[in-house]
Amino acid sequence: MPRWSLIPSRYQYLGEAKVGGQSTVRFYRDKRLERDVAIKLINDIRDMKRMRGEVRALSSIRSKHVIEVYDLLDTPSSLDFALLTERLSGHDLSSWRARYASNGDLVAPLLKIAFQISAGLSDVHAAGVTHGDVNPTNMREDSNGIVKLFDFGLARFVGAVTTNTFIGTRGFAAPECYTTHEAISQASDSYAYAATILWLAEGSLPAELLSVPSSIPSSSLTRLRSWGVPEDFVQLLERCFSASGGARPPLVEIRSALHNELIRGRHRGRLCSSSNSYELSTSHNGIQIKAGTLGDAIITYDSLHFNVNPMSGSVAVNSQLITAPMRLPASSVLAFGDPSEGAARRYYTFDVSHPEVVL
Amino acid sequence: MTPASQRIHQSGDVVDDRYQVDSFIDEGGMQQVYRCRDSTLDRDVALKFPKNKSASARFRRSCILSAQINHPNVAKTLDYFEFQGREYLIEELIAGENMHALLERYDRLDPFLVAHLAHHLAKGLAASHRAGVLHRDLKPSNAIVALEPWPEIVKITDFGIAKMADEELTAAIEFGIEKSITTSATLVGALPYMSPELINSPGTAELKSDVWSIGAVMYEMLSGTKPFGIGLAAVGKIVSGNSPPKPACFGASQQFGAHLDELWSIVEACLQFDPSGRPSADELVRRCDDLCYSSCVRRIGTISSFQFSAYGFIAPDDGLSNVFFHKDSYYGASPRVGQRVSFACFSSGTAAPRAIPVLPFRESKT
Repeated sequence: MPRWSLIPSRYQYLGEAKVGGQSTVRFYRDKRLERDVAIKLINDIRDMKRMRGEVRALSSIRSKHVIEVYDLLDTPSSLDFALLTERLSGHDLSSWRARYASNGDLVAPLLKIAFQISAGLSDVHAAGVTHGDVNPTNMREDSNGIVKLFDFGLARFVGAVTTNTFIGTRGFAAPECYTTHEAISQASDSYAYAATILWLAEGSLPAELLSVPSSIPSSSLTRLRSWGVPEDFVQLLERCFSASGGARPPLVEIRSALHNELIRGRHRGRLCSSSNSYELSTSHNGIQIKAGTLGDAIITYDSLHFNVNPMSGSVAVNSQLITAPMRLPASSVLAFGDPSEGAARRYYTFDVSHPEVVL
Repeated sequence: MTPASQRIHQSGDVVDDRYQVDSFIDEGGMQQVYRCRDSTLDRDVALKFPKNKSASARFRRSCILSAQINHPNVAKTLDYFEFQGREYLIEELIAGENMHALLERYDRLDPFLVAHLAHHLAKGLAASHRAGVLHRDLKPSNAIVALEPWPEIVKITDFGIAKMADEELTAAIEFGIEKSITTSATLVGALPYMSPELINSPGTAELKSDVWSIGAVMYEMLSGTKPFGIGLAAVGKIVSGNSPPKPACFGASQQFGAHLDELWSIVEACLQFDPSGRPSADELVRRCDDLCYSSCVRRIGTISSFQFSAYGFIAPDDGLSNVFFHKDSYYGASPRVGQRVSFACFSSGTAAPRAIPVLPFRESKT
C-alpha cells in the first residue's frame, strides 16, 4: 500500500504537510515535470470509501475554480491509493479578512471573491455533485488570484444516500445537516456559501449561525449593507439562510448576480446595418433608429442590459414583432417594416461585447 | 495522414500497464498523438510521444513548460513518463481538431468567429505568460478547437516545441536558408507566424513574440492568407518592418465593416515591428473583452434558394425548417444555390428564423 514510504521517488518530499482529521496532505516536487504537487492519503484505511467518493467527484467536475487532479497513485489491489493534485500556491482564505484595513476597502474584493466561490460551486453543482463541506478552510486563492476549492472529502452525487450522523463544519453546515430526516442537498451548499461570505467579511461567524437551530444573522447583513455591499447580493445571502432548502437561491443564480455586478457598465453594443454602424456604451447610452416610414425604435443601455422601445411603424426582434419595450438578447437581428414590405424592410444586427470579470 | 505502418502504436496496445490505445489522432513535426483510455482514472486522455531521437530532447522540455500552466484555454498536462525506452506525455483529451483543419475548410472566417477564437487564444496565452512560459510556436496547428458546427472549446497546446524550429532557423542561416526551407517541414510551418526578432536573432524569443504570432494567426483567419506570405519570400517581408497589406476582402462587407475594423486594429497592434509597441497578452485579452461579437452556436446547411440577388433560404442539415438569409449577411462573394454554409440562427416565436452571419465553406476544387 502506498503509505508515504511507497510514494515513487519521482516525487521529492518538500518537508511540508497538513494533517487533517480525515486525511493528510504532503507537498512534493514532481522532479520529472518540475512542478509542485500535493499528495493526499486518507488517515484511516477504513475510510477509503470517502476517498473514492472524492476522486469520483473531482474527476467529474470541469472548473477553473476546482483543484486539478493529476493522478492517482494506485496499487494492484486498489485497497489504498494516494490522490495527486496540483499544489495551490498563494493565500489561504483564513487570512483574507486581515488584508483589508477598512470595511469600505473590503467591498470590491469581497464581491470578487464571492463571485469566484459561487462560480466554483455552481460548476460543482453542474456536474451533479454536492460539496457537503463548504467553509473557508476548503478554499484557497492561488498566485494568480484565482480561488480554488480543494477539499471534496464529503462530496456526494445528487441522490446519494446520506448518513445519519452529523458531518460538516459547525456554523457553516445548514440546519438539515443536524437532523436525520432531511436530505442534504445542493441547497445545503448555498447555506454554507453564505456563511462563508459572512465569515470572510467579518473574520468570524455571527452568533446566530453558531446556535442550533440557527437563525437569520440580521445584524451581520445590516453591516454589509452599511459598508456598501449591493442590496441584491445581501438579499441573496439572506435567502441562503432560509430554514427550508427550497427557499435558498441556487449557486448559479448567485454567480449570475455577482457577475452582472462586477461587469456593470462595461458592455459595448454594436448596431450594424448594410450602410451604418452605431456603438452604445455607458458614455453613449441611447440611440434612436428611424428607418424611414418603416419603423422607429429607441435603444438604450442601462449599464447591464440593452433595451429596445418600439416607437412607431413595425419593429421586429429576431423575427418577433414587438409592441412594448423589451430587453434585447445579446445577439439579435432587428427588422424595421412589415413583413409584407419584403426586400424593402431594413435590418440591423445587434451584438454585445463580452466583458469578463477581471480577477 | 500517417500510414498505419509508420504508427508506433496500434489500437489495443497498453502503455505503462495503464493506458489502452484506442486510435491514432494526429501527427505533427515531432510527435504522434493517440487517443487512450486511462484505466486508473477511468477517463479518455491524449497520449503523445516524440517520433525520433532529435525530437526527444525538446519533447521533455515542452512537457515541463505545459505542466506549469493551469487554464481552460491551455491543454492540461497530466503525466509524463518513460516506458520501454520511449517518453510519453499524457494530456487532457479534447474532442476536436486542430485549428489549421478548421481554417482549411473556409476561404476566410467571419469576424464573429475570428473574435471568438482570438479571445480564447489570448486568454490561454495570458495564463501561460503569467506562469512565465513562452509558447514560441503559436500557429493554427498548435491550437485545438471543438469540432464543427461551432468551435466552442479553444485550447493551446505544444508549448516550447518551437525551440526546434528556432534552432533549425539558426542552422538555416548558417547553411543557407533556401536549402533548409525546402527540407524542413517544421520551419516551413512555423515561419509565417514568426516575429521579426525571432528571425533576426533566433533564440531571443520574448513574451511579445507570442503576441506577434497571435496577430499573424488572426490575420490569416480574417483574410485566408498569411500576412507575409509563405516560404523564403516571407522572411524578407517580416523583417522589412513594413505592415502587411490590409486584406482586400475588408471593403466588401458593409454589414460587418465595423467589426472588421476593430479586429484589424488589434491585428495591427500585434504585428508591430518593435515588440515594445505590441500589447501584452493581458492587454490583448482586455481588447478582446471589448469586441462585440455573437457566440451563438452555429449550424450547417445548404443554400436551397436565392432570389432577386437579395435573399434566400438555407436547408439545414439538422432537418429543421428552412432558414431565411439576406445577402448582406452572407460572408462571401455571392450566394449560390447548392453552396454549403455554416450559419448562426436567430428566431423567436413563430416567424421564420433568420441566419447571420452565413459563412460559406470553401468550394472543393474539382
